[in-house]
Amino acid sequence: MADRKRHLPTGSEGSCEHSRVEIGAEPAPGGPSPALLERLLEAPSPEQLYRQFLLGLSEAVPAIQHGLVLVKDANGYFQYLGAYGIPDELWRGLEGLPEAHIRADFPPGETAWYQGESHLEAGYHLPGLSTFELVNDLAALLPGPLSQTLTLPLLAEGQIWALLNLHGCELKPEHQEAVYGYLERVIGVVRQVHEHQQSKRRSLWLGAINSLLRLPREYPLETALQDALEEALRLSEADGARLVSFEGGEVRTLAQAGWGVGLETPERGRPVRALEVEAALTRTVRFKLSRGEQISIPRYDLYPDHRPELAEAGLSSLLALPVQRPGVEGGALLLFKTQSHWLPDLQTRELLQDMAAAIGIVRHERLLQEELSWAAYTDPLTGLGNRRAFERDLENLHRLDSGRLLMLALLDLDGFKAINDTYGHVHADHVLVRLGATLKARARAGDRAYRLGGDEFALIIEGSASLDVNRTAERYRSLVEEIKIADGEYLKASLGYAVLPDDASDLADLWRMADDRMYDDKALRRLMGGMPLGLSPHEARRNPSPLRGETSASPLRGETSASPLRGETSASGEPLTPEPSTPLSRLAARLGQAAGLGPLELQALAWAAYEGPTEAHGEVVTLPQAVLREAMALLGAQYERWDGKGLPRGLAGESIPLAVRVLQVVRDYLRLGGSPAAQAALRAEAGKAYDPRLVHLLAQIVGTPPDR
Amino acid sequence: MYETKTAPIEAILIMDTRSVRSGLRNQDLVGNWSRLYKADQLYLDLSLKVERGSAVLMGQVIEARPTDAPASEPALKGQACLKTLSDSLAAQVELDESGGFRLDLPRGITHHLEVRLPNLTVRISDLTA
Repeated sequence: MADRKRHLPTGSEGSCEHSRVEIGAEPAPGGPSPALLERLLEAPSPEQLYRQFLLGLSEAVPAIQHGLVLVKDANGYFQYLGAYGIPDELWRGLEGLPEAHIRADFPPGETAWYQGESHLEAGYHLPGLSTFELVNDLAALLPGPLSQTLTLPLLAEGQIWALLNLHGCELKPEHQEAVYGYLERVIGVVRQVHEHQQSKRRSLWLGAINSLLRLPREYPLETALQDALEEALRLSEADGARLVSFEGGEVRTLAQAGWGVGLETPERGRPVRALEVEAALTRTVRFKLSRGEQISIPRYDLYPDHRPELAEAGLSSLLALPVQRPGVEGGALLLFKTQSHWLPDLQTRELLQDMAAAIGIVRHERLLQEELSWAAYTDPLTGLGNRRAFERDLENLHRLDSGRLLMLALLDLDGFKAINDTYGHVHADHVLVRLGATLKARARAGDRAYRLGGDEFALIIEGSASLDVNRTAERYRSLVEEIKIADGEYLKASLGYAVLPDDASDLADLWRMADDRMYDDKALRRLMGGMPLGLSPHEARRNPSPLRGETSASPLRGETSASPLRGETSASGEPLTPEPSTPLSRLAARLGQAAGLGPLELQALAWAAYEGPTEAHGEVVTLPQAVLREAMALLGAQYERWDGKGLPRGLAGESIPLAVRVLQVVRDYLRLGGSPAAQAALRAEAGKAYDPRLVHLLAQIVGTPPDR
Repeated sequence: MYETKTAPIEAILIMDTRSVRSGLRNQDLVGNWSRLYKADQLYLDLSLKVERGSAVLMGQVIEARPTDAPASEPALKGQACLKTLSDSLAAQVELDESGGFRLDLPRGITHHLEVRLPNLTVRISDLTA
């Protein structure tokens, strides 16, 4: 023990005698007994630590019957941290005593206080404590004229860090000597354990902050903020906590914990609601918080802008820490207590500020993640989910397997390129924006709409077994077809849908089937100019196209068939429209004949190659159903490639119907200008995109270019 | 100097505001602070600014007037004194017309501040820059 001066008291009752105990650099001789040392080291909290310390003192000096330990916090207040022989209800929760008050009330004077001199006096006296009832209660514990109080300010590093207030009867010099001896052996260990506990607490804080910063993406932010708030409440030893954000002059509560949550309102029968501690955040306080300042109000009742109802409800101390977020309005972490003069020490306030900063970072990161996720899964033009979102949601719903029907509907806008060409991209984009808004606003609850790209849209619909899938799908088509393009002109859409598990066993099948049916529908609509054909996609599903390799035999697959065009009227009795005659259809007919196509195939090919108006000579185009189906199937396969790299099915070589191969060669020849250069381009792709035999045949029909 | 007959009243801390300095790894509370104290019917607004090794203590005495009090009250007269822990006077200034004052506070040494008014002395203990 360094620099230890001792003036042992003479022991006479009522006299003031002084001694001094200081923790120095040198270890105390002896130290605490092994049993006491173990109890001190195992104390889980400062309160338990000081209780064990006082118990040890009472064992070493039985004449000491009661004791209190007060330890100075960073704000100069001596807080009650432990007691021996005093009922808990007398000292627990007492407000700390300011050092100035203790010092002023210390009988030997301030100089003796700073020098850490002890003082013995008659009766009960705790310097700085003026609460009359409490003094009486404590004095009543040891009544009688012989009771005495020994007060010891404890010095360390030149500062008084703790106050020991001991109480006994007829304390003699040897008792005081025993107290000093005990302190010499034990107090250094106690202080070290206390510091260790504080370090441990700091590491708990840092652990909580790290947990927040390492929050897994899938962990809900609200839960994480609630966890962080409760941890802050626990570690700061506050009574209540709130996490709020400032939003345009309003204070929004994000999380709340502890005291003030669910307090009863005075009016009977009213629902239980939380005390609005947020109201303590006056404009001045919010302004300071917005500047990144930390505010503590240890006497809320004296604060000039206090809210009387909060003070009356028991709010006594408040600490507000800024939660800052780059570029946006921030918020605050509020901690409060029903005890006045409460203010966490400086270290705790810095740790709390770290927690508040971590909350700000996590909220900001989540916001960025949400924005990124929104951008990654949203079509920016229409605001609908994009293809990525569509695939994700479809897989998620399938994986969840709710036991309900899962319907996939694909919508492809008809002639959207013409809208772009006619009205310009700005107008066309505006049409898409309105379409997105319509689908979002008028979709059935739970149905999800997506833009897969360009003019292709999808809907994922869940429903019970009784869901009328055709009606639901057609309703969405109707919504799309309500979108106006120009006066008297509205969007048109081809539709295909499929249902899991009725139509497909897995997602790939489901998508392919819906896609095929959408192409079937598009082909039909193309042939009929968007007119209803009396063959809904639902019916198409029941009457699959022969091109899909399903049940019907088809001449387009090389099988012989009698021509259905024996009559001159349709099944409904309407007169049939003669075959169209356009450069494409005429050349297709010539090449088709040269390649060996039959009459029905040639007729279907002529209509598939037809790109004219939907009315012929003022009459609506009317075709036999068989021709329509074959032409539709033919169109559905027109983007297959000879090398198998085409769409939608990846057919290769002669598995692509001959009529389709003919159409491909003729179509592209004319699109490329019908020139020798077009022939050269076809030759370059012969065996890749085109049937080489047909490229050769075409050359014979139209004449071999001079360079050959 | 105004001699008050009664003992100084220890002012009660009502509000403490500190700036937060955002560091790379943590948030520190900087040395500057502002505090609001109350003593009797007075508020004392104190702020400490630390700059390049020196510290300045600025204060303002504000009377807690009732709302119906006349707007033009006579100017506050008094002094602000810095005292060492051994109670010797370290510095002293007169309050200005609006009750404000400014004192240099030596770094690293604890002082008491006393604001002496005609009928009251307010004390704030243990100020350290």
